[in-house]
Amino acid sequence: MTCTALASLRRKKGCSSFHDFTEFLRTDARFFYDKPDDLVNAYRIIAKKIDPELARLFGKLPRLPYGICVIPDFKAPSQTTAYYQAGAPSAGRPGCYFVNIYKLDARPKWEMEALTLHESVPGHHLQISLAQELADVPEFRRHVGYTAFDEGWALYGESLGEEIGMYKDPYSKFGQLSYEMWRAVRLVVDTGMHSMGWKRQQAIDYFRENTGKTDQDVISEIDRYIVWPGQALAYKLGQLKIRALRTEAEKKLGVKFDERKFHDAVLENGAVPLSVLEVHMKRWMEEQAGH
Amino acid sequence: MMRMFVILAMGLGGALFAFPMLALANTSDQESSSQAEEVKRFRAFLDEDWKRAIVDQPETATWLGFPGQNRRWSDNSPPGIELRKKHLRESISTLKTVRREELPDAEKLNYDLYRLGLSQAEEGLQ
Repeated sequence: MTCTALASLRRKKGCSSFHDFTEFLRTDARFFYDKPDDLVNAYRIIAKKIDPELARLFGKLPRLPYGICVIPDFKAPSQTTAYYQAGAPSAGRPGCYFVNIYKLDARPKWEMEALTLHESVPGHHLQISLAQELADVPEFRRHVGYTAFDEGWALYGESLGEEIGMYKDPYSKFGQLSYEMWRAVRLVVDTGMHSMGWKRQQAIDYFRENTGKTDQDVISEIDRYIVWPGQALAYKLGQLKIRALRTEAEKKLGVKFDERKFHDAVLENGAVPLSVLEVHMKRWMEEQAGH
Repeated sequence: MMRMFVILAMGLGGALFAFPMLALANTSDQESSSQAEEVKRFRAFLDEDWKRAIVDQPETATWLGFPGQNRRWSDNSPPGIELRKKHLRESISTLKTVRREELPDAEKLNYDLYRLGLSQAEEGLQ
């Protein structure tokens, strides 16, 4: 599905191969800011476009706000393009979506929407803040994390962009599809290196050939997988589970399916292992079908 | 992209786990008194264990806004590490005294998630 959609976009641009197309996307000046402030402000604009649309996707939203922050210089060269840092309601600290302004020519505009949906809302900030605000649970439940749930949710969150008017620019749509591909490629290279004896360079080459990521990102990614075996697999596995549960709910509930209620139900217990989520959502489907 | 999020020393990050078929429904209003007593005891243990874990890790306490620890650093001396291991072993032992079968479904989930976290932390000691 992702490959087909990517190929369609490539043909529209007239590139003869995926490699040519990604090379164009990695290098053409139109896709990059030349001032750090412009990049940061562009992230802020995207986030503010998404914020009001959340009312269409969720019945319950967190009280804790979030901001766009710049990754400190001392660690920017070895960091990925962005990450989320949880806030703390008890400490009066907002969530923070950290963005990397190091090497502006490695931060293409076409990935900014998908990235923002993932790291801020409806991705990490929304899910983690709702968990922190859970009532009537032991304290550990507000802070616990399960990578497949957390990252699966954030990746699923990227796919919600289309429903709220993001990805209107075809290059931005490419960004979303490229991100999908990127998480699928992780299943190959992580397993390759940790189970099949792949060398680092082999993983870098495969990654570069099959995603639109810049060299700066590719190398950071592969080195991360080397020191953190298996973690990168969780994104796609978690997203596939949530998407499968949604498909099942849509089929089972038909016109009764309410997207806002579905999302609220997925998040209402905070982060849980996927096996627990599945039991919970199947029960939720039965309850909804009975109404 | 990844998220940067506090994971407590219990080692709660992680893996899929084969949970029993748990319901996440609210606690029934008609709990037996024995059940209510066990829930109370279990929750008291969780509260105390949380406080001890957070005092063992003052940076996490500050990070989460848990009061009173801002002037301390974690004790990473060999005795400090041994003390945390001792605390972990005590937590595991105490959790085993909770009668899971008497807990309502929502508390069974708390129990299983906590047990998972402790067992992962124990595994991390190897």
